[in-house]
Amino acid sequence: MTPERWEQVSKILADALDRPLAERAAFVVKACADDDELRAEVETLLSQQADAQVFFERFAEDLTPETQTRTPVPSLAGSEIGPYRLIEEVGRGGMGVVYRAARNDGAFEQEVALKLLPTGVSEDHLQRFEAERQILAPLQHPNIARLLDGGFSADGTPYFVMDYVDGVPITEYCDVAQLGVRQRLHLFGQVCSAVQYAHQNLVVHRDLKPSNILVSEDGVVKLLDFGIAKLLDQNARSRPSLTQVGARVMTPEYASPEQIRGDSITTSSDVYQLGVLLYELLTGRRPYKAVAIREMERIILEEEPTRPSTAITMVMDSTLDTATQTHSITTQRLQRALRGDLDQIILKALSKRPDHRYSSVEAMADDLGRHLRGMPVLAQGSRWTYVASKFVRRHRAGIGALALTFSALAVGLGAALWQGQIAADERDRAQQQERLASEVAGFMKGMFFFFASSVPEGTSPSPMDVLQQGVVRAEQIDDDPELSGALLHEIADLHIWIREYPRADELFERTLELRQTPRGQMAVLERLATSARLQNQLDRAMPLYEQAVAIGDEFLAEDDLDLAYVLNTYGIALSDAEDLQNAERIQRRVVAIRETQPLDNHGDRAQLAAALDNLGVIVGKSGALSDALSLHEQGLEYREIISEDVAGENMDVAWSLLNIMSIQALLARWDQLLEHADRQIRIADSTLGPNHRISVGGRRLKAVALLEQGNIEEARTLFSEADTNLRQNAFADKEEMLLLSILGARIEREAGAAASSEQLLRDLWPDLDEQWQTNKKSAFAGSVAIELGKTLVAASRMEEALEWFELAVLIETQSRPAGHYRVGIAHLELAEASAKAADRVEHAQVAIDLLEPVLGESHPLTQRAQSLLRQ
Amino acid sequence: MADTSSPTQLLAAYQAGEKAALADLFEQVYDALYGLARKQRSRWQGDHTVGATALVNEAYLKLIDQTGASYRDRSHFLAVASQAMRHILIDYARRRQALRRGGDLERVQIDELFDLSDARVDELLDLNDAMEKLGELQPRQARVVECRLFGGMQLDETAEALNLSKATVKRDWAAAQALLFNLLSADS
Repeated sequence: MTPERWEQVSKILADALDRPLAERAAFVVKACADDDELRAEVETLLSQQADAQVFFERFAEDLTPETQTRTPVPSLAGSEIGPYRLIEEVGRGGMGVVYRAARNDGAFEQEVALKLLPTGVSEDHLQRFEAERQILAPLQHPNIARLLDGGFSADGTPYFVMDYVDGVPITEYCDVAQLGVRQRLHLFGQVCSAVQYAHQNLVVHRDLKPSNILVSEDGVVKLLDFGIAKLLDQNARSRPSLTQVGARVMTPEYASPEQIRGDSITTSSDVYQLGVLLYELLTGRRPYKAVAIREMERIILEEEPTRPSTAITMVMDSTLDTATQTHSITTQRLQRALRGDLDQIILKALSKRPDHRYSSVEAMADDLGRHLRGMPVLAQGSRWTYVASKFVRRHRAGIGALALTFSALAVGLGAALWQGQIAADERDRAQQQERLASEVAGFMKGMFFFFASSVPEGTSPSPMDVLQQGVVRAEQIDDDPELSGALLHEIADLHIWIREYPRADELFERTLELRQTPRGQMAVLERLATSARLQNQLDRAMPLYEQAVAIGDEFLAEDDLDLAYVLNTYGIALSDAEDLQNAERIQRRVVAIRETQPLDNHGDRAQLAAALDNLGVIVGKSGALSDALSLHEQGLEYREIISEDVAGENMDVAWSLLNIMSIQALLARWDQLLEHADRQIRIADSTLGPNHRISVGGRRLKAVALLEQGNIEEARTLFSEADTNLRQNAFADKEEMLLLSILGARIEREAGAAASSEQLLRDLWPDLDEQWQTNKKSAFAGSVAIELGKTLVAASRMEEALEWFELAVLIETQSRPAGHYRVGIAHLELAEASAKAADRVEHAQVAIDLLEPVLGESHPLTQRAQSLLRQ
Repeated sequence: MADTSSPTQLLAAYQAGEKAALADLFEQVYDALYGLARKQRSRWQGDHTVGATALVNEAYLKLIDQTGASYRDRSHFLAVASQAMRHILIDYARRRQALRRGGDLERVQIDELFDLSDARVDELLDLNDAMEKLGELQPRQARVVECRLFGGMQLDETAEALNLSKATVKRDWAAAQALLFNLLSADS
């Protein structure tokens, strides 16, 4: 803005402000003639003028604190304003002076509250009064003081008239009447109902505190002073000033964190203030001790409030003893009443973050209602966490945390009992766990024994029949939900192992009802999630994983091994979903937990190796190949240690070797790959069988290496073997199938059969195309596009090839994190196929920048890019 | 030369058109205000706070010989003091912010002259920037804000000090508030 422009704007602005409110808009339109930009500027400033005044008023007050004596405003009691006679002054504040008044014309006998500005300041407050009037007018609720009238006095001072509430602040009322907790809650319910009503009318109060909430003699609550409430109108976003003003006008001790920060104020701010009010009503103190204002702001932003149930004892300790007197119940009873639901409800309302509070006043009131009716409340996070904690509270006296490993089959039944966290008595718990472990082991054995003896000789029972028998018997145990739940869990888990997923889901859902400890809930939710993941339903799996992790984070120690197990499978799911950043974060947590274990047994080593290996896969997908390789090699080391002690081959070694080989393939280290290949295939064949994807994957990678070394026929032989094997696997891994098909197409191409290569790749395309179109991400679509391009190059169909390479660049750029070498590969192919020299150079340069840091200077791909540049 | 002059003499010299006197007067008023603020602060301790306006008025009573001082003298002095107060507050706010940003690494000792929240301290600095912008657009309005806000001066005092009509002060004050507020909200 230039000084000349500002002169213009400021003149029109000041002229407008000299006019009555109603005429301003029209004046501005006229004064700005056809200069729309000017008008927009003036209108913006004009719309902010009222807020600006409040801001500077407050600012000046802060610079001139109360040690200053202000010129007192003389009371107008006895005088007349409009048709009203002022009887007595009943209050004054920043917003004006309030009088008890009555209509002078005898039309009504009713007494009213008349709110009037101090004389002489009228212009300054005009807009705020107008705002207050507009907001209050439509609000009609038994617990909100009604706006009855409004106008200007003879000397132009604006005023308005409200219900006169002959009452006392709600806190005082409760104390004088010595109300008990339930009565206080009922009274608080009236407050909620009023605030909720206002919210439905898009009005946020912003300044809920006892002095604004009066209770009449007959116990009716009335909310006063919506003076600083602002309509939550759609314009709020274009007028950030509104929220800033909110921050200024608040009462510090009742201010919400967002009010102090000056963030946007929503209904959630009122939820917070209701939390403060409820805290004070029930404990006789505020959540934070009164201190200097600046310190108070810091405390509200940073410190957690004392639990109400603890606060009450602090009141006792400080010999005040008022809380019990005023509540007319003993400390102990009071504490008991507060501990649990009410603590949770209040603390939830007082959460620092608005999104952690109740989503609405209604939700808070509902929860209080449930508490009053003795029903479970929803205060603590998810249903499962709450149910779990509720369960623990109910049985505080002596529950051991029952928890059996959910991968019991892998480790051996009975051996893997988790150390519980929530328990009263260590000894009892140990005995309890021992009992359960032996019961489960015995039961599992018995399951087969009973069944085997009940089927006719000569027939062999199917696993499903055995398991069904187990379910029936497990559910017959009705006096011991823990045992019943533990058994059902194991049986359900067996269904996952034999890939009867829907049945597993059904059983785990029943298990969820039985295993009510947090640990149990977490374990069952994880199994449900993993079952969904194994059914390729990631959308369903993710929230289940998140719930399981949330429970673990809340109730278990940071380094809890059960939690590590859950995090591990969650990390795999995130990796499947190509959310590599979070996958890595989660998997690093797993490694961190596993690394704290003493590693004095093979079980711990195996777990650490698995965690390292999984992290390696994720890191490798993100493109950090050398990091990935080193993680896989670390994992292999632990697995080799275990192998030395265990008879026969260790399938985990085959797994590690496969991971190492796949990185070596990416790094074009063909000789090193071939050194591992035969051992990998041998171990995988003997432990998992030749149809398993680990065995197939080993053959595939060996074939890739042979192909790269020009040994097409041997590669083809190995490929056919792998392909045949995988086809015999009823649960063939989709990813492995895809990778194998790509290899098949490459072999065809190298063998000179471009048409057949093209067909193979085109068959793969529709699924991948859909995947990347839907998710804007795909791990393999780019690779297939590149291979298709290369096949087309082989068929001398350069223009089509170029299109596929361009698509590949697009897909890889969207699918990979920044700087990923696979994007470089796509650019390299595009460079090579480009007809124009300029394009070649450009893409080759991008390719080098991406390939060299990860693959190294001597990698064939880097070399190819280099030679393109040299041309 | 001017060093030895009393604030009363400097004020008179300034009113007589001697420009150099203003700088000296400003300096003396700044020091006086700072000293008063410190003294007040240490006397009150605890919850009591020092008010900018109170300080400016006290400085006037302390520095200027009241015998024969006119309303006009007082207004002129208050305008100078308002400016000095603005500088004191801004300097204070800068130190507070530096302290906050430096964390534990660089402990800066500062006199806790005022009881202002961190948010206010930040706003004070933003406001100062905004007032400088306003000063470029219309210096008169920036002066009006200085008097009203930092010296707590009334409309007529401000009008007298700046030699303006009361109506102009009122209009300037309203327009300036809107612009400054707009600049401040745009910042955040």
